Parts: sequence; C-alpha cells; structure tokens
Amino acid sequence: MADAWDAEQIEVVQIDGLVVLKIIKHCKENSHESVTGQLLGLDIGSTLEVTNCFPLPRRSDDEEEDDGDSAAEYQTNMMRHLRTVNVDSNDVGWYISANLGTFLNSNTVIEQYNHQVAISTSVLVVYDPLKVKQGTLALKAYRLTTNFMKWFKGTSRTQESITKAALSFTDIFEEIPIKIHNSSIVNAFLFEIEDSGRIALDYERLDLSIGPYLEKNMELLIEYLDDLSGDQHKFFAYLRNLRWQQSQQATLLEKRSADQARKLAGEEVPEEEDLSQNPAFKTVTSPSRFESLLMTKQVNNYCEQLNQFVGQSFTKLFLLGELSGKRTV
Amino acid sequence: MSHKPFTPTTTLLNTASPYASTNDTSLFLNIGYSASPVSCKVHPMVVFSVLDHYVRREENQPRVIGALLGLNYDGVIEIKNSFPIPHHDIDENHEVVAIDKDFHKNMLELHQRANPSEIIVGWYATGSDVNESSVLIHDFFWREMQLTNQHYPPVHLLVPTELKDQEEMTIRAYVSSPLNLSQASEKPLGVYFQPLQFEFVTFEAERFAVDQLIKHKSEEESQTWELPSDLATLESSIRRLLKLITDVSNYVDNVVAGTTPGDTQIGRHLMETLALILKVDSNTFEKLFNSNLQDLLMTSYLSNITRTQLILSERLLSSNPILLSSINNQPTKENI
Repeated sequence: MADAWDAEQIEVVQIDGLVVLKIIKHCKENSHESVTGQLLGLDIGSTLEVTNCFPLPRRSDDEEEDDGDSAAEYQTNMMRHLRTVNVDSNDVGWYISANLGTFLNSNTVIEQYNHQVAISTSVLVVYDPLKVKQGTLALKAYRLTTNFMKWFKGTSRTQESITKAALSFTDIFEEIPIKIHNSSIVNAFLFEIEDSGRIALDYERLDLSIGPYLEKNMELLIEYLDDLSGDQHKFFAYLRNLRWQQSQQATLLEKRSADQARKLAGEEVPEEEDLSQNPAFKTVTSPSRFESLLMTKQVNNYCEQLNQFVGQSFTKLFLLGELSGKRTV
Repeated sequence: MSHKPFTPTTTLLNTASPYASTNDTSLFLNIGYSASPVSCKVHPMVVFSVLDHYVRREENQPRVIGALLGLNYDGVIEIKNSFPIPHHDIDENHEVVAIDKDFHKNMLELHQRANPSEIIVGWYATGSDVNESSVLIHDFFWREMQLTNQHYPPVHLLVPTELKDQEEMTIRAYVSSPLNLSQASEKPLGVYFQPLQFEFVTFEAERFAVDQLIKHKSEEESQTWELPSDLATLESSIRRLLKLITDVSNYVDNVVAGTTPGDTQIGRHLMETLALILKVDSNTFEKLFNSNLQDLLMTSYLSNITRTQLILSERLLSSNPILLSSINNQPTKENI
C-alpha cells in the first residue's frame, strides 16, 4: 500500500493577505520566543490556498502534563467556532516564527512529520520577524521530502541508515513557492488606504549599517557550529571504537582459525575461550545522527542568509562609493 | 480628558416607546460613563478580517457583526484583533436581534488564551448606517464590557460594503451616549452615536506587508503574485529614491530658471536636508569604505568555507569504509 504522502504534490502555496498580516502580528508580538499557529484553507489541485489562520497559545512550563490535550482541545474548539462563520476549517498546515532563521530542531521536524502523515499536503510556513528590517518579507513555505519521510518512518537514526537511504542534509525540507492573493473587496479597501496618506517608507532597507545583523548571525552560527562539532566528536569516538573492534575481531578470528588448523595437525592448543564474551564482539551502538543532520542544515541556512545579506550590502556600499565619486576598484 | 462637543448634525436614534418619558421637554446629552474614548487607532488587519467575514457570510444575511479586541491606553483605543459572531435579525423591523452569546464567550476565551493582553473594546458591523438593531447589539456589548470592569463604552466600527455610488469606502467609528429627556428621568430617550476620530496604525513589518499588498492591488487576472526577492525590493527602493531626487532637482532647476515660483519653506526644508549629508573627508571615507568591504568579504568567505566543509564532511562520512563495512557485515556474531 503506497504511503499517503506519495499522492500528488503541491506546487504553489497561495496565501491570503489576511493570513500574512495575522502571522506578522502574532510573531511580532512575541518576538522574543518562537510561536506557532495553525493554518486553515483548502487544497485545490496543485495549489494550496491558505485562507485563514489562528495562533496557538503558548505552552507554559507548568502545564506539561495536559499540554497535548489542551492544545488539541484549543484547536478543535477554535475550528468548530470558525466553521460556524463559514471559515474553511480544514487544517492545511502550521506556521512558526523563526528569529534569523532558527527553526530547525527536532520538535519542529517531528511536528511536521506528524502533520504530513495525517494530511499529505500539509505545509510549514516560516516567518522571520527580524528580517523585515532589511526590507524583505521573509515568508517561506516548506514541506518534508518523501525521501526524508521514508527514512524517518523507520526507527533507526544511525549514520548507517542515513547512508543507505542516500539522504543528505539538503534533502530534509523542500521549499514551495508562495503567492499572495486578495479578494476584490479587499483590493477596494487597499485603494482606499493608499490615499489616506500613509506613504510606504521603505528606505530603511537602504540603511548601510551592517554590524548588528552580521554580529547576530555570526553568533548564532558559532553557537551551532560548536554544538555540531561536539556531536562530531562523539561520532568519531564511535568510529574509533568500531575500527578497534573490527581489527580485534579480525585478529581473534585469525587466531581461532590458526588454532583449529593446529588442532587438526594434532598439536596441543589452549582452551577455546568463549569469544562471544570477548569485548571485541560487543555490539557498539551507533549514535543517533538525527540532531547532527538538523544542525548541519541549520548552519547551512545561516551561511546562506549571510551570503544573501552580504550580497545586498555590497550593492549598497558600492552605490555609496559611486555617489561620493570615489573610485574604489 | 476632553469630550467631543455635541454637534446637532449627527444621527439621533429613537427606539421604541418604552424609553420615552412623559413630562419634561428639555433635552440633555448625558454622557453617562466615567470616561469616553478620545480617538481610536485601527490596524488594517482588522478591516481585512471584517471584509473576509463579510465575503463568507450566509446567503441571506445583509450584514455581519463581530467583536473587536484591543488595548485601551487612557482613552486612545487601539484595535488590534477581531473575531466574527453569528447573528440573525429575527424581526423585519430590526427590532429584535439574536446573537449567539455562548459563541461570543467561548471565542473570547480562546482568543485570550493565545493573546492574553487583548480585551474587548467594541464591535464591528458591515453596512452603511446605524439602525435600531445596532443599538441593541451595542447595549449587549456594553454590558459585556462592564462585566470585565471596564469603564469605557464600546466602540462601534462601521465598514461599508455596498460601494454602489460612493466614491470612497469610508470606515467610521462611533461611540454611543444615551440621550435623556431630563436629568431626572432614568430611562434614556434614545442613544446617540457620536462619531469618533480614527486612523490607521501599523507596526513596521505590517506596514511593509500592507505596502506590498497595495503595490499589487491592481493585478487583474488572478489577483495573485509572488513575493519579491531581496534584490527586487532593493531595486525598487533605489528607483523610488532616484525618482524623488529627480523630482526635487527638477523643481529646483525650475525655480532657478524662474518658471516656478519658489516657496521659501520648501527651500529651507531642502537646505536642512542637504545639510544632513555627512561631510567626510576622502581619507576617512576610504578607510570606512574599505573596512566595511573587508568585513563583508571576510564574512562571505567564512560562510562559503563553512558550507563547503559541511558538504565535504557529509560525503566523507557516507563513504567511510569502516561504516560501509559495518553495514555490510552486520551479523558478525555468527562468524564465531
């Protein structure tokens, strides 16, 4: 039986202006921590239309026990109420706020996996509230790849299974393009407020200060690299163990076959020890590589962000250079 | 706290007779609350969700209502959120209205779990005028707000959706005050909906998003468009700046040539603006420029190295002979 996620894929995510504003508002108000919310809508063919959303309450640390229940209850209640006012109450995914792109941890992936198992067209929308200072609306839609889903379904998290599945850290999420959509009456309203004199001041993105953003990004990068290298050390220790074990096994087996050959030749041989108790044959557990896979992807994300920012800053810097008449090259 | 003055041209409502009193003929405007809102600020998102609710209404409903949530800063009400409430006009004359109270209570509770700081500040309705049923609904909300110990009356936001002959879609906000026939009578004659000054506010990210939405509002076909990339937005800002500068320089040229009358205020403004440009001597500028450039280059170099390193390490691990052999030789115990 084919897995549910082998069904037809979504090509485009169409988000309503209302949803964009709601996500922005919710993430902005809780910018010190990562918050999540539910997306509602409809999937039509290869387009996923997101028409509404609502924020999920923050999980406080004291309510650990009934956490799962109360969150699910909140969701069902909210969706039931929204249905009475004719809002599409189909769960099509969820959104998460990610400061400077930090959203790849095991909880997120597990949550998305559960979503996708239940509803194959489920997407994760990531909004970065800090990137708006650079003048971009950092809204991205992701989905777990089928490769990753298959691997995740199996319970093994070892490097061996990753190699077997030919999985790379770039294969975890795949991005889906986003389009924004508005109904006509909303368009009318937009015409109205355009005239109300609120000028679109988007000259902040021409700001030349690069220090703070670079610093923050580098800090996060260094932190994650530290974690990653710690994980790598553990893994190398495992590899060393494995190698030692393999060489020990090889010598012991050789010795045993040599003993057997001498036995046949009629010579005295020492007692055969029970090799299965020998530490060389104890199975060394392969450590889980899941976290390190995610960390690798996160570090990669940071690097990409840095590159993007640097590209923009170069443009601005050279523009300024030209304007002041300096020949810099 | 300043109260809005009574202007005789605004709408006066007269509901059914039980409210009329008998003897006195003088009319008093009784602002019966301890405080009244001074102005209100609305986030565009609220209007979006109101319009969305209107678009999704049932077939025979001429209008929809819902509650407004937000914050109250000493008379200035900031409306940040809203949720719809199903309702029916039972009577044709709009004299009886049924509102789902449980729904209202439950939704409010759910909302407050997610946004604990927002409280009810009023209600919205679509349509173009205030009528009798509005009074009843307004009353309901007033009672709800009093339950939460607020001393402010609810704000009523009216969003016109007809757009037939009107040129504009003017959204209006109202506050109500009861109208008494005399100070002695307890039952008010009617309720007077006083318009409230209101404006749109946004925070930075919201403004950017709204700006994006405005720019693409006239896309005809499917009314969808993609989010622009970083470079595209940068380009558009630079173009806009260039246009501004061109306009200003054209204006100045015209004034100098005598074709346009000069305005001293604008001239002074321009002078002040130009004075803001930093005058840096070339050495300092070179140094600043180069150091910035070096920072950027270094960061880009480091990030590229990191990426290459990550990919390399992954490839190496996956082709590590020890691991490969352990994959292939799993059942070592059987060799014993």
